[in-house]
Amino acid sequence: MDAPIPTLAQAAQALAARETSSVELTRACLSRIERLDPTLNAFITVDAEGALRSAEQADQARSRGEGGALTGIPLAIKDLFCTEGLRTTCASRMLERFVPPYESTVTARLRAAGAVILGKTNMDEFAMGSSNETSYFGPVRNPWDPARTPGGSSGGSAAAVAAGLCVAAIGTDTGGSIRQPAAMTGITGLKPTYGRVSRFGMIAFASSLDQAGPMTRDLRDAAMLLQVMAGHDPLDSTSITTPPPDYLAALERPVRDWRIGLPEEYFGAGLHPEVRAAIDGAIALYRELGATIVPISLPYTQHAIPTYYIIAPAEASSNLARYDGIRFGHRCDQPKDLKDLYARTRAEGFGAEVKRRIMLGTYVLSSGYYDAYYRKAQRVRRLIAEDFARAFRDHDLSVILTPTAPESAFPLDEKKEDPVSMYLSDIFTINVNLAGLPAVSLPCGFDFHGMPIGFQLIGRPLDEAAILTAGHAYQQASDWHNARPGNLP
Amino acid sequence: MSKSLIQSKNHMSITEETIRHVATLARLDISPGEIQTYTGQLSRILGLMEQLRAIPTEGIAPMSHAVALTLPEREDVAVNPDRREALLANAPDSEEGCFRVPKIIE
Repeated sequence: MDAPIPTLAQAAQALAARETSSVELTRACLSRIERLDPTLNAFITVDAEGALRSAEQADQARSRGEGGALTGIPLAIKDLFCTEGLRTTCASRMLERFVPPYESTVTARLRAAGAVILGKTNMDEFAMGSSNETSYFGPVRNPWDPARTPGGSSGGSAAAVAAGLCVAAIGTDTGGSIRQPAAMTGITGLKPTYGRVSRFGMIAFASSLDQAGPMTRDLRDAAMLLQVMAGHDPLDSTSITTPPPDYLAALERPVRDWRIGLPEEYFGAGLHPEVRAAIDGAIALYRELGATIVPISLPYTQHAIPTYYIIAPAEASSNLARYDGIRFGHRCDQPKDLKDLYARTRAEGFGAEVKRRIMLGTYVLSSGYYDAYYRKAQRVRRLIAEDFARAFRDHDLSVILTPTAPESAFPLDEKKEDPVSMYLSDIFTINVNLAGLPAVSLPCGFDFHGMPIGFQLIGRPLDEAAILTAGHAYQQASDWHNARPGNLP
Repeated sequence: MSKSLIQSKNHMSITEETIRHVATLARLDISPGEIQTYTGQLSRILGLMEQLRAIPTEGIAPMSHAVALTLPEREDVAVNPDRREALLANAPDSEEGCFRVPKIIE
């Protein structure tokens, strides 16, 4: 049994003090990947050679007295970020052999800060799924119980962090794809405000909802990564120009006298009693820390699932029209004409869930249905966003606290054949994407099966600092985030 | 647009014909088995959407983005370098610096 993989803050400190080297740290991650990933399937592509090369460069930079917070830190990247020269599949047969000719802004910023990229993590195909079972490369398994899902869609990144296959990872979140797997694997996952982190070079799913964020051991690591990822990017027309504040400074604030909202709609019948009990524990701890718990109502909560499953597939059906078999990606054999080329290429290249969402999106955008479904959903989306704005304003809240998911990690295959029940597992996360708010999931307990449970902190637009403060205060006073899966070989 | 598609007011009973029409619009070749599966699944998913009808939304402006956007502008200078080789490297088929497609005009 080798030494456990450190947190990002610990690793950065050890590297700065020359107690370890990036090559040593990278080798430790690669050897754990070699040993554990045949079980977990968290990676689609491992770039051992590239990672060790970057690690050597990082060590050289450090020996010259150069380098920053991330210099030499081994990270895992969701296989949805284009990485120049490194295969990027989005877990789809369509992009099985796609090698991007350019680099995403997120990975470019991480590389520029000195990070080492170990490889690309498994995910639901095109990020469409909540259990990682839609991946063309097979499901990821939960390090806490390999018979269960790690959640989705960033399940590979979540499992890699939980199992210590990397120091930290990057995911993306369109309807909960960072936060729900973070909750199900006992790690910390943060979705920034929409537009805070550049989407350039992220393979698009639903462009008005997609956002990248850190998946880490704790809030301090999340703050360190977010500091590098966040900021304006002229290559993304929806990128926010407001400069990000000092996120590490935000960690040091107390939450005494903070007002934390508790929306009644998130604590109804659908919430598993064991999850409820763990969340109650987190609420009690905030009271002990001197925060005021304020009961609030977000009345449009119940309409978020239908609203999301109209808007997201509509945007997806449009975004995925680019996969036509002409310029890149899969092409079918022996097309008899252009129409046949398109239709068979797409039928072969996309998996069942992606096709289902393209069909759904095409339907709700089609002539005669556009107003009844798509326009209607866009109007309800505004009502959902106004719910949050009103609650923050009227109750003078710093953050809102909710469960992240209605239940803990469920067994693989349980919901696979039932799209509606799979969609319902996003019920506590998708509101946040529709409103564009920052939110983080962090661990707060375990259920009877030993599966982690997470809770969610939601902030005002652009106020990632508030969720970092509140989350860090909780982790300073609790120990759940330090728990590691014990049954790994 | 087919007649039955416009008339299917009750979305719980989405028809196989509708599914075939949508698949054509989406450029997806689907098998008879898939048509059956999607007819059932999409009906159930669209059933979930029905609750939105009851919400009064008159006068509510559709929200297309999470942040209020103004279209950013930059100086009108070309920034795209010539990357023909790199871009063609991912093409399923190419010839003489061009993407190659099957013959489309008889």
